Amino acid sequence: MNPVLSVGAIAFVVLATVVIGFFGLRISRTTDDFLVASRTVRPWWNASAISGEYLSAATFLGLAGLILLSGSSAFWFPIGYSAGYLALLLFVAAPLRRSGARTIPDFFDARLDSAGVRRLTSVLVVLIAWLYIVPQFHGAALAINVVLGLPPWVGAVGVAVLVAVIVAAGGMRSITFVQAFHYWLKLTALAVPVMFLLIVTSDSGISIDPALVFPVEAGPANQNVYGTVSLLLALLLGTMGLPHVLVRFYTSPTGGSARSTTVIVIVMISVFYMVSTTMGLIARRFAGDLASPATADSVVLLLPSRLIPGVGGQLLTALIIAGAFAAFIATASGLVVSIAGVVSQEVLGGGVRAFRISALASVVVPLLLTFVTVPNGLTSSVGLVFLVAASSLSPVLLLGVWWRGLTARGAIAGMLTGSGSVALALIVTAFGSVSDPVLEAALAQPAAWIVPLATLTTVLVSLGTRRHRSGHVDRFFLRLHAPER
Amino acid sequence: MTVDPPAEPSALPRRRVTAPRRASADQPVGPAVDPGIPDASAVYLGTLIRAQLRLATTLAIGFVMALAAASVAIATIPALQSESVFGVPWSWALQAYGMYPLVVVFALVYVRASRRNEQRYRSLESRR
Repeated sequence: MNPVLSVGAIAFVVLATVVIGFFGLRISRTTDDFLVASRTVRPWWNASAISGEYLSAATFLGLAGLILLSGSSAFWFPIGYSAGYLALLLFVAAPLRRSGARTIPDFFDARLDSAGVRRLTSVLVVLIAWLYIVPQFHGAALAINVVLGLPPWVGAVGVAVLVAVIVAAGGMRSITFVQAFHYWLKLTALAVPVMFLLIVTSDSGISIDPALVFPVEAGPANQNVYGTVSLLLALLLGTMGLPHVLVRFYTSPTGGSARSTTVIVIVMISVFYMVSTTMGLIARRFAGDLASPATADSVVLLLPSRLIPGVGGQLLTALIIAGAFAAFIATASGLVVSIAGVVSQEVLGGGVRAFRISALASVVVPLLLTFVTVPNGLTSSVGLVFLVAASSLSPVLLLGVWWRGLTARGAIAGMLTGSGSVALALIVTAFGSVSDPVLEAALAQPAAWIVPLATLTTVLVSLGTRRHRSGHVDRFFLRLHAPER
Repeated sequence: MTVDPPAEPSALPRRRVTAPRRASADQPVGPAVDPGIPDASAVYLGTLIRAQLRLATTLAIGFVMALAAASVAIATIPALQSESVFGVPWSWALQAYGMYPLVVVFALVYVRASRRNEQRYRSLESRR
């Protein structure tokens, strides 16, 4: 590992991020500029930015590690992430854009006229974002540790400071440019090394028995059906409940362009996932010795030097480091923008100054969480975030867009049931001992029962409190579903 | 439905859409149809929302069924387990790369069909 090249790569990403962020600062002036880029971002730009923000440490480093560790069941994660955008496109993309809201709490406020719902969604949005930022910091800690041999906290703190400064200085407008750049950087930083690795390994003449590195036991023929279905449900519905994804759709000019943007996003992230998957398949073949929970997530960083000795491998590693840091910074800053938007409006009363203060504060809590939690596989920690979003926000969001009968009390009951059930499942899994295998599976992948439960609760309580239906729901539905003229 | 919209009567197959909603509004609970929207608009909008929801639900179910069918095929066809492509068993390769085109196809179909629904709504609205 060459420290000069690696530090150079990190410095390049940081410098490019700051320069592009500064370029954006010169054109953002008003609160609207800071929060939603004045709603003028074109589909290709916006799609690049959404993809740049969505591809986190989990898919950049974690996916190949998980494929190495557990085989073909890992493929379901990227498939679910990509299909999550399909669900978002089918059910919420255009209506949410047309709602004209800036944040998820804004949307529920406009739909249900309830301070209680607004407060609860704000809490959930902030919680989900915190949970999602933590694996980004863990990823940074891991990368700095593996590549430079520095203590893990250096990477976490470094990325935290950078993100806080960028977001506080430029808001969403510059973040849009920064993240669009980060998508292309991430794709290049993974695709180029994969190409070189494929060329080198196909020339090497080493023949490896496929049945040995791709055993049937870890393959598609031997998968847990309940676990897969439940995981997919969480990933499919979780995407639309992620705060930093939704805030992006408010920047499309119209509902129609929000749809086109989503299709481009699906193509962009799918291409990236295929490249990342290829890295995982190469890792299974040539880095079988790293297949342990402690080392699997570092396989992407270690593979190039292992297969290509000398400067070539070091250059490729530096490129991967650049991409990995783009992943940490892009996802974390998108999340910080989304919570800073919510916190500044809910707690500090809005305005540019409040947004800056909130951005700084929004970084500190996840950083503290990073220090008190143990890294637990990047992909599975991110899977947990999708589970929380899918259980608490998504069912209520879907009903709010499509069902006139939703009431504020129904929404609150549904969100509390969903998030409470997830908390219960996590606590029992962590501290209790469950002997029944059926119950154990239901607690390990709980989306399959929590999502229907939360939906049913929302519907039943809404029906029971139908006297409190919002009086302007028809006008609101006209705004959500009627196309722009 | 008490008021006919002042448009060509032959081209308006939308009366059934509002009937059940009006029935429920007989109770002295809040207004079922917002007074801020003209009657005909509410009817057109109801039709659009139903069409969009039906479209989205159909495609979602279709996608899940396609995904399930592909997974079962990948897991059970014996040749896919034993034969390899570039050193990777077909079953692994298909599951790793084969599902993304499905997602893209369903997304494209939806964008097209939803735009058509909206165009139909627009042309009805402009005729009023």
